[in-house]
Amino acid sequence: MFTVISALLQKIPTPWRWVVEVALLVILIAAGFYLVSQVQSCGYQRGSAKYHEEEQKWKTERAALIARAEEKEKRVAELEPKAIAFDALAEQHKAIDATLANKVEEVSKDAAAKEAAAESPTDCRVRAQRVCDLLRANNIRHDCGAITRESCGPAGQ
Amino acid sequence: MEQSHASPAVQQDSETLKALEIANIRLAAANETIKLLNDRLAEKDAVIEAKQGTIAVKDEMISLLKSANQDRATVNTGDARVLEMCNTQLAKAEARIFKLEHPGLLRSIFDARTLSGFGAGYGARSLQEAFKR
Repeated sequence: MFTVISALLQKIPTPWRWVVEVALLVILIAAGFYLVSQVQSCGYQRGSAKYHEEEQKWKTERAALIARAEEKEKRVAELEPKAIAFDALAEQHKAIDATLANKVEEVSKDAAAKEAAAESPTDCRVRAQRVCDLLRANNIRHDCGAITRESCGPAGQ
Repeated sequence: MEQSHASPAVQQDSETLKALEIANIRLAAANETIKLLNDRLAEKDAVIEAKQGTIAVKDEMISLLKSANQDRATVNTGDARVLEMCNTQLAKAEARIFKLEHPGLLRSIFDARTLSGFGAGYGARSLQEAFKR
């Protein structure tokens, strides 16, 4: 190809040949610059397209991640009152337990008072009646008459 | 028949009955205490159940928050990565703009516009000379 071009240039008369040669050289240099510029532009465009593609991909992924996190946070907010309700329930049962503990104390005190009262001298039949009442309250089968008779003697004595 | 001789008014009192009465008082108190203690036990079980409920709910909350936090951390990491990419791209764009604005002497000379301008000028001059002739 170069030989063909060289042969063609040889056919042009001398002063014009230089002009044509210079023009060809200039065109070649310009074409070289143009090619380099196009390669650089292409590289830049490719990089830019890749960046935009990755950015778009990330935007979609990001939106999904945020939506997922928000969903979980919403669920946590929904669970919060449930935890508070459980705490309140525990406190309620604790209060009932404390009341029952007080009642146990009262029962002990009442029993001690009743025992002290039982220690004082009492008419046999009155005591026998009280014993019968207590046995009945404690669901113990008994014969009240027999207890009274055996402990206090027949009626009228 | 067993009788006390403490005083005439309480002559008929019986020690056996007294012991029986005290025993029954203690029995009634014990029964009542047992009932109350069983109730307390049930209440304590209910407290434990409620606390277990609280723990289960809090565990779920912690698990959800950890997961949400992980998602947010991934978002932050991704944002930082994209920000870095964006800065790099911005720098490339600025460099490209600078190159386009300042192409350099050689490139300016051999630019298609310069050459076409030169060609047009040369052509015009040639035409002018041809007319003069």
